[in-house]
Amino acid sequence: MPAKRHALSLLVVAGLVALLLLAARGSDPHAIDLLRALEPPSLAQPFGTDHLGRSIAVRLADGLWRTLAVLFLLTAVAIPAGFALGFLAIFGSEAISRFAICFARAGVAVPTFILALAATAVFGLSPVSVGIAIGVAAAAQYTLLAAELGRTALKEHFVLASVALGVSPVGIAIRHVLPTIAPVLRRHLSTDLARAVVAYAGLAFIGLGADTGRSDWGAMAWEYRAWVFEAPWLLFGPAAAVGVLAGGLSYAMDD
Amino acid sequence: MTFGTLLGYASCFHRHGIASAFSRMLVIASQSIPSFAVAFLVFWLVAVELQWIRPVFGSPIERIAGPILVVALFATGPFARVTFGTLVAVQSSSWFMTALAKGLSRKRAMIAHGGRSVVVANAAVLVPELGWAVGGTAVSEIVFGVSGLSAYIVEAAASRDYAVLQLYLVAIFVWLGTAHGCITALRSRIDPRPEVRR
Repeated sequence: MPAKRHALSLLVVAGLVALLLLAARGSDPHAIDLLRALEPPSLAQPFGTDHLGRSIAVRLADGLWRTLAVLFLLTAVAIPAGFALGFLAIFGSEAISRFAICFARAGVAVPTFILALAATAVFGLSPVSVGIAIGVAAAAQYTLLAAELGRTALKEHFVLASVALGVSPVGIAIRHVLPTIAPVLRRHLSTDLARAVVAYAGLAFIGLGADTGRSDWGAMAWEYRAWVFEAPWLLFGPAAAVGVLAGGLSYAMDD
Repeated sequence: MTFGTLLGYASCFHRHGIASAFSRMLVIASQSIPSFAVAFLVFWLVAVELQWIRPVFGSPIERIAGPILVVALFATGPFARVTFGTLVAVQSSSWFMTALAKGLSRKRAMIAHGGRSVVVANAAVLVPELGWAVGGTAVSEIVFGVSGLSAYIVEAAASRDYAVLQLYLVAIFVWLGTAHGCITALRSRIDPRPEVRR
């Protein structure tokens, strides 16, 4: 039953994302129409228009691609790097194992947002720089998790049997350790993805390399903050988008 | 931390009560609601509607009250849930059973004998929260117009002031190292498990 419920919630999130992207298909997020400035939400414009007459829904859809790019990079960096370093910590020599664990502990010590802030300062704010920075921070956590869970998995009887049969460390890691630790890492990834959505919105909000033409959800909130009392729907769109994506991912991927 | 701990105790006293649901909601909200949305909401509520504080022209305490409230709101949920989880674990320990057998009520036993375990667990949560407080609160500071350290770091990042950023990263390591050392020392003193105290 819980599996069905989570599959359903994942479908709902995917459906909302698809609807948003379909609604904005072929539209220009930068198209200005001053005659339609500050229109409240309607059927034609579900999230209204901003002070320049731009469609909030179209801008949200454009920002969604940038946020999805961050999530993709986070996963692409954190999972392979975390697994590789974690397995090095388990199967490598003592020196290599110590190096991997020290690297991971140092990475965990610095809050992710601060690491992303430093990376943004050096490389500028883009989905690539933020995705890689958050991915590196998350890789440190996955290293520690993979090392600890992997060591526990190595004590299982079926793994010990494989070792006795002469299976190589790589074979043991892929055939036995990975499937054993994957559910825990998936749960961890669900919170990491949610945090990445919020962190990217936060970084864009504080306006590093501010560009008002950019459709990042955080940058939109920063741009529309002056209309918080006059046209509150301007802020509702970006905040709701972050909340739905982050909450939906966290809920759908967790058990 | 104080409110989170009290909320955790209340959640444990009434497992399916309002406090438990509220603490769970706080944790989910802290993971999924962007801090700028919460900061704007708090600003609108306490500064515009209720007019309890004047964030820009008020006294220094009024100016920092808003950001503190936002940061505390995000930290309350984790402290409450960790307290709740620790108390649930404590209730299945042999020494807790002994306290119940001696005639203490469940509530009194949790307060009298679960306190140390709760402090030890919450001390572990405190380290990342301390790291977050130095640099991670930029959004709240910007919304409330407070020129704090986080806002200063953001300015340095925007103007590529690498000297400030380098110093800041060193300060973060020193700050977190010191906090970690102090909390480890505290845990080793108050942890009720003898093997940890040794």
